[in-house]
Amino acid sequence: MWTRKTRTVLTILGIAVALELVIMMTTIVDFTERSMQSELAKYSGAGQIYVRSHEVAGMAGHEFPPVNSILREEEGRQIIGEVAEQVDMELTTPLIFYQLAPPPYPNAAPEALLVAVEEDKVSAYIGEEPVVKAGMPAFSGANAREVILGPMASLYFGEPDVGDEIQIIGEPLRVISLIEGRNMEDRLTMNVVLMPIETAQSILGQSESISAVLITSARLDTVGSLAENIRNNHPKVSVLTQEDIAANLDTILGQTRFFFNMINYTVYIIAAVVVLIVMIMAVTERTKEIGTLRAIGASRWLVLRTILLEALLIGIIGSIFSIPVAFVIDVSIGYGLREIVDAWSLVQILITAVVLSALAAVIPALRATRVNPIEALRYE
Amino acid sequence: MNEIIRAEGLKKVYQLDEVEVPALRGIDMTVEHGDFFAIVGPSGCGKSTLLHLFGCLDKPTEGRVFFNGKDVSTMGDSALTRIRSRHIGFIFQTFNLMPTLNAKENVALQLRLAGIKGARASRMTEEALERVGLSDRMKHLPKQMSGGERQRAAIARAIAKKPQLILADEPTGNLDSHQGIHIGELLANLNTEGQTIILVTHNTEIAANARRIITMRDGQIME
Repeated sequence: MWTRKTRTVLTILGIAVALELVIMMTTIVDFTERSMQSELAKYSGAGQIYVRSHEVAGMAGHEFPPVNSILREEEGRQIIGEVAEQVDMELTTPLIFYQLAPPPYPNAAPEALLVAVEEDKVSAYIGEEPVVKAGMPAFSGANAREVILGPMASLYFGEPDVGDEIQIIGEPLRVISLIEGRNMEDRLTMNVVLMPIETAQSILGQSESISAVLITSARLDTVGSLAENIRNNHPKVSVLTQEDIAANLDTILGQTRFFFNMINYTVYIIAAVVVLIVMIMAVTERTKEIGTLRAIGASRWLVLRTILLEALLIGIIGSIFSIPVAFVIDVSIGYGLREIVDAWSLVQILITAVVLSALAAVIPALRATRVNPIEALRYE
Repeated sequence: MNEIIRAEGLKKVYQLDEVEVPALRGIDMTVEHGDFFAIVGPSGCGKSTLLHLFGCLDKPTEGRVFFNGKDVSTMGDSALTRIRSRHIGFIFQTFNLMPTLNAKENVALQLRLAGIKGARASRMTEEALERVGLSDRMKHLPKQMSGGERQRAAIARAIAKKPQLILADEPTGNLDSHQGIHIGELLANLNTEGQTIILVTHNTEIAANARRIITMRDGQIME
């Protein structure tokens, strides 16, 4: 009895832990998906177009931010000049992107990203109403050795105060403002190290090159034709509209989802195999009892149903236990599971686990129906 | 015709790998309602095999078994299961009670398999346990009972549904002589009340409780 209880408890625990893993994986996928959707939403209706050099070989989709793009500044300014009448010039600027610190995990944004804009076009990149924590997000001049830091970048540079100097590629720059993201998923603002474009060119030693041009269309309905015009006039550059960025995010999301789904399927298979092994052992151990039941009049169907019900019960109890386990782990790492995983996803995971538990028991249950009562009664 | 079991030319051969082992070499016999048959003989003489054929647990290699006039040797598994659940009570050497169920639940389980449920099942369970002297042990698990008590619980399980036939396979084999005698007397009393019993044993003292004793040797009835 004790052996059976221990094994049953361990099986339930195994299922609970496996499901907890599935819930966490689903959480991560949901988190990534929402993060990307949120990022995408930032461009929605903004009428923004990014002009950059053609993609570097081996890169998937339209990489954003285009840190590997190099454009001649002269060409960038020429493009702006050509479309000047159709765009909002206040929100149109050449850009430099430079990765100061690598992403903390794959497919994430860099931890600290140098972004350079024309000295009076700060709002072109961080929006017209940024959340300011300290200081004024406005540069004093084109050559000002000044930076505006996003929260993650601030953390990377040791949380300086406004007025402090920080070293970027060996050059001292003064922090003039600290800004906050609109929310935890605001990837454009979180990691930004914003500075005037001439300052960045001086620090990076690339006086005549930029990474891209940010163009904000004056009218939302002309974004497509504007992008098309630029493509026609400058076949050597790449033009990214919101749709391109969406496609890029979708590709990344697809890869992430595939990766985590593979882990989820593996976990489900492991949980099913655990149930299968436990039920085979249970049937083998109870050969005598099953044989007795058959002898005194239990039908094959009743035996089958009993074994399947037992597995189903193990699956249900394991599933129920997995929820508090997931929440305890969630609270301990502060992941915000309750806000991210919706009830329907949770229900789907639990139903899948319970159904898999029952399916895993089909083979042992069929084996139980084939127990010969005579052999079982001889079994001592 | 008052027969419950009739065997005609029963033969049973077991196939062990390449070797054929004959267990029964042609049995003809009839058991009538109200009989108390004891089948005795040395180990391996085929008495348990014969009991399994009478109990619809196995099929003969040759010959036929009739239960209440119906040929059960050609019936399918479902039909045989139904006969076992409703008309035959089994008593085993090693009791074969469900270890996780108490005495009352063990008896009730048999009644449920026979299709008897609810208050009627509860009343029949208690009657059966009272009949074998286990009224005060109803809530006890098998491991909390002595060997004799376990076998009496197993007998209660067998008689509760009021079967037409009770088959007892070495019911005293795992008991001391005192408990064995008590079980033998209990079976005799049940027969006095009209219960048909076929008992397989190699204990002649227990067999003496039966009305008719047949001796088997090498798969055949000797007398």
